[in-house]
Amino acid sequence: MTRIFFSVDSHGSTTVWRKWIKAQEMYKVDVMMLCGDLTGKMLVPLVKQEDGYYTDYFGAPKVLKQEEEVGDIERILEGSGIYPFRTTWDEVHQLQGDSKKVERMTGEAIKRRMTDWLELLISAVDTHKVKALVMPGNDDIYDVDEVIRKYEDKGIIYPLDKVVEINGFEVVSYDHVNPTPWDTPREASEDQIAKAVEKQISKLSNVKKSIFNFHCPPYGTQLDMAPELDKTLKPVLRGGQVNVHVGSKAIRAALLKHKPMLGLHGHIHESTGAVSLEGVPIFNPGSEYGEGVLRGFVIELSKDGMDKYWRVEG
Amino acid sequence: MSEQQPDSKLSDRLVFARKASGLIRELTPLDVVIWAVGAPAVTGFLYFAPRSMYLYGLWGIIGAYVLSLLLLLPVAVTMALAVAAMPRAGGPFPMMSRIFSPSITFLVGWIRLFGFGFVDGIISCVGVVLFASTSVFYGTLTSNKAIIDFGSALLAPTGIFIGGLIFIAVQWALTLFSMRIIKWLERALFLIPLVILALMLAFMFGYGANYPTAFNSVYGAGVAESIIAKASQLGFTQPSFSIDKMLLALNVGIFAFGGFETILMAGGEVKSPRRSLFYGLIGGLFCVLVLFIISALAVGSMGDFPNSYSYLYYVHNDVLRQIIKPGEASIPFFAASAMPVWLAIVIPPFAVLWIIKSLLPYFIGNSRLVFSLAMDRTLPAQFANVNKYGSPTWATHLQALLAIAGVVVFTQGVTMILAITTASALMYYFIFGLAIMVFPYVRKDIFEKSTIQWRFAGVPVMSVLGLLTTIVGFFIFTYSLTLVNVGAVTALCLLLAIGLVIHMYQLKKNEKQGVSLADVYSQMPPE
Repeated sequence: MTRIFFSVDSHGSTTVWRKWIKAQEMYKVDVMMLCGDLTGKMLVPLVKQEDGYYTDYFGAPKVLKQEEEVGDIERILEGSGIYPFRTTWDEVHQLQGDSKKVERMTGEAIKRRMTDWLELLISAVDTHKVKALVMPGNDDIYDVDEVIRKYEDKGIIYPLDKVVEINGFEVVSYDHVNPTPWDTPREASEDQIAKAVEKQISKLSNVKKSIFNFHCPPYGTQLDMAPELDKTLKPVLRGGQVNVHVGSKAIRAALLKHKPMLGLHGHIHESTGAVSLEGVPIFNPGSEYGEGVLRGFVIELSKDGMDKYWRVEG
Repeated sequence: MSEQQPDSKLSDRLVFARKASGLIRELTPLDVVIWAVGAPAVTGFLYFAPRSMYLYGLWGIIGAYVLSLLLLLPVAVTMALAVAAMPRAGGPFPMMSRIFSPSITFLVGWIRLFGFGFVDGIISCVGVVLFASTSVFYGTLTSNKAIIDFGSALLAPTGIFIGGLIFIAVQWALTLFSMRIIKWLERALFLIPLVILALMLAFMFGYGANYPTAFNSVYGAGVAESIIAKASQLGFTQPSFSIDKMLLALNVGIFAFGGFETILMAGGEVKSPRRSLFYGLIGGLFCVLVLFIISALAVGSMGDFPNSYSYLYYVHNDVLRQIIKPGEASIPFFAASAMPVWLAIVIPPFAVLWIIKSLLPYFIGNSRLVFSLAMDRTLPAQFANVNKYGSPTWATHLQALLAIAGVVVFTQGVTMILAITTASALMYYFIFGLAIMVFPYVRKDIFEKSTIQWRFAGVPVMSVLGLLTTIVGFFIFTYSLTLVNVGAVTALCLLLAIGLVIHMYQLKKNEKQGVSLADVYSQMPPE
């Protein structure tokens, strides 16, 4: 029996990462997967003043007078996927007029955290016994791939562009998604997605015993529902939110054509679920990284295929 | 080194977001106000004051509205802050799931679901009554017997039933098939009736105590005076203000504000949730109160006539029928006499538009609640299926069935209906309040990440608000129970049982599929 813990979209949350590492111990898994959207989105300055460090992130101006307070706030922010940094008012004003510098600083913060995470992973998990797959997603800059690849010789598996073998089952992976309103780093047209996934699938020796680890969920299921947005990117409200299907039609077509053993997806945080797409079990754990909540699926595979699964959250 | 706090114009908070972060979207406070006003709009503005003033008096009604707002204010503030602390689609329900078990949240959600489901059906019937009454009046005004007969037929129980079903069918179709139309429809349905409402109130105020003159011009010389005299003869006296009456009118007042929190179901998409939700919701509530009071004052300004008329209509309808072919007491009905004929023609369609505008938030919002319960696997997954317009299909059908049940319940008498719906629609307030009260202690991990960490004398403000909300919510719930009879209690228990059976079925199904709700919300071990 092979047990997998599958989670997605940690978005820089150190709390989620730590819980994911702990989950492999708690559920005694053979394979741990954290796939898609590993990195965070925001830098939050803690600005040095005479009386301490200033922040207004929590809605009201706050001055942190003790080093311990600053440390606590940094930990809370890191737990929510944010990159806090200590700075001065001069630098803040500079950054407010220099978006390129902000991007550069964000990139560096992303790489630093990813490195820290991977160090923690290899120190806590025996990667000879437990396979650890770490995959970027559409929201992740390409720099992060380089960081993950540096740890391949320490047992971390970077699953893109290769077939990963797990106890007789094969995993193919893909990180791009169909176009979103935010022009994220890894987006592709449906045609491009179709070609790319076919290329990965063609490497498989037995599709029926394979796992499609595609970050983007298939279109038209309960895994790809997101709030509809208007032209100004505001959610459409009609007595409540309107949810529409935003997944990939190419991914859907690939799943239906090849009928793998299962499909593992992420990307749409609100659409957590496990459903069947014409007989193919597909999963999306969803995400609540902002609250430091880890969501995942524990999936058990026997030699005949998927045996059982259950959803966990904590 | 310069030390300078940021210019508030430069950003809401001092953060630097990545270019493609998906964090741009936000609701404005104005969006929140429009939705907060829309849901309570119908009955409070048009119906309750004229209908109830003969019982409670003008100042009893106004006092009840003000007291209802004061009671609901801590609930509104708590809800806005709670959703701001954990912004998610589904409003306060995801938070309750994190604090209590998902099954308790389901219980609360299910009760709220059929409460508001009934409300939709009831208001649909009210809409029929308003439309029919104004049609009767318009037919009288233009001496058109066909219109009078049509309106009278609609006012009969069968007519109300069929008309109510038609309103539900319209909402059903709009929700399932025309979501794209609803967006501009909602705006038009808000502005146009608001203008007409303003006109109606202006004419009512304009006539003031001379209103009988206007009424007589339609129904004949001396008719208004004979209605007043007849009511007096039958023992009616104009109600004076008393605290008792005001407290009795609370049932009306609280129900009138119901639905204001519908907007919170979309709380997950707010960049500045504390500002948008908080100010928008509270601002919306006060706008509603002002409009309620103006409507009540408009009726009260017309002297003794409206109360005498309402007394005869509701207590001695047969006597009133000997004088005129009556329409139900409402703002449109009274206003129609005060307006020129060429303008009064807009009133029947106004009633329809205003009703539909106010019904849609209930209908759609309730279907979204079903959707979110299904996504959480506390209801069968089929209820989360959506069609190509983004509308959850089975959830919409369920809401339609509940609304139809509301139409049926309407025939049982208004007091019992209000009691059932107030009890079921508002029961979740006190459970929600309890969840918020314990939230900073039970879910410290989420609380310390939230933007609402204020403390007062060391106690989290959210806990204090949660305490107030629990008390208010419990008061509202138990108050409404004093008005129900055995039949209503039995009906409530039956509906509760149905929900619990469905939930148990889903729990069993989850277990078979390997989804354990106990595991779903299990706490991960310490890091």
